[in-house]
Amino acid sequence: MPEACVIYWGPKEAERWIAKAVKAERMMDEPNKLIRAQLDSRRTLTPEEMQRVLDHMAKAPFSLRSVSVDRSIRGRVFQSRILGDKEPSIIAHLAKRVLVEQDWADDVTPVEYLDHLRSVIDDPALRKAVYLSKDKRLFVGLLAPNRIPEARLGKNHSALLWVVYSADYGTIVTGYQVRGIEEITLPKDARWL
Amino acid sequence: MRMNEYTSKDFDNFAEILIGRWEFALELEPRWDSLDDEERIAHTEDWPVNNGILMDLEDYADSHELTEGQQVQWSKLKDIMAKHRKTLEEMGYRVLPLKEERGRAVA
Repeated sequence: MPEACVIYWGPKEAERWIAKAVKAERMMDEPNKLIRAQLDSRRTLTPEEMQRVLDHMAKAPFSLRSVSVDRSIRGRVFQSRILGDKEPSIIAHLAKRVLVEQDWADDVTPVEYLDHLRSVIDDPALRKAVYLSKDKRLFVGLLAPNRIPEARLGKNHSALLWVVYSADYGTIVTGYQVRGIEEITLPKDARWL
Repeated sequence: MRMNEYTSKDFDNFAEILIGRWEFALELEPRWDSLDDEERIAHTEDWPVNNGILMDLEDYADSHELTEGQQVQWSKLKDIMAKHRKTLEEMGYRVLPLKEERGRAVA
């Protein structure tokens, strides 16, 4: 093979390429297209369309990527594992919620945490906001009263749950408890649905 | 609404945590563009938790006399925020300004 044809792809490049392909595929999903359409204030979803979007988000997985662990808890034991510098996103987030912010109980599992976050979708008081981040990533924020059973809460629990869904990746990217809407500091052009 | 009483020990703990989170975000800045998109999202979309922590610290500082150690930590945090808020905002973090600046913005 001529030397000029040899292209070296390290694991990082491959990972990026796969992420781009996954993102492109997920952007084609109809519910994510409906979410994108909500950036236009003239477009309102029909109740059926909104239900399809909510059903889609209710099944969304938590982001599967590894992310940096909060520096203050690296090396600490969390649910029988020693936290490294990077962990799967759901572990990194849940460990922060339990060990640092202490708004979830010590023994809440990742499956339970995800169930708690997904449960907001069925809440009659659910509020939904569509917004673009500074680098034009599209999100839906879900805000609902915190109805997690008291035994599953930590000592610093708050009144509301905020869950962030990425319409670019089709995943839940985070979820935490807030005491009020002012904490969330959404971009000015966020649209509440 | 915070559901439990916020103590002096909470102030010590969360002031230290918030300073650490600001310092960590600033450490990321030089390599921000090389980070994976989803990792950047994990950082920026999780940041508003820290806005809640800041509000609790402010409420406590407004209604209690801080110890000498607490005053040092509180000043350190406010100093980092004043110097570096724009840097974090440029990275895409949605940073809640300090209460005095929020008041000014409204006025």
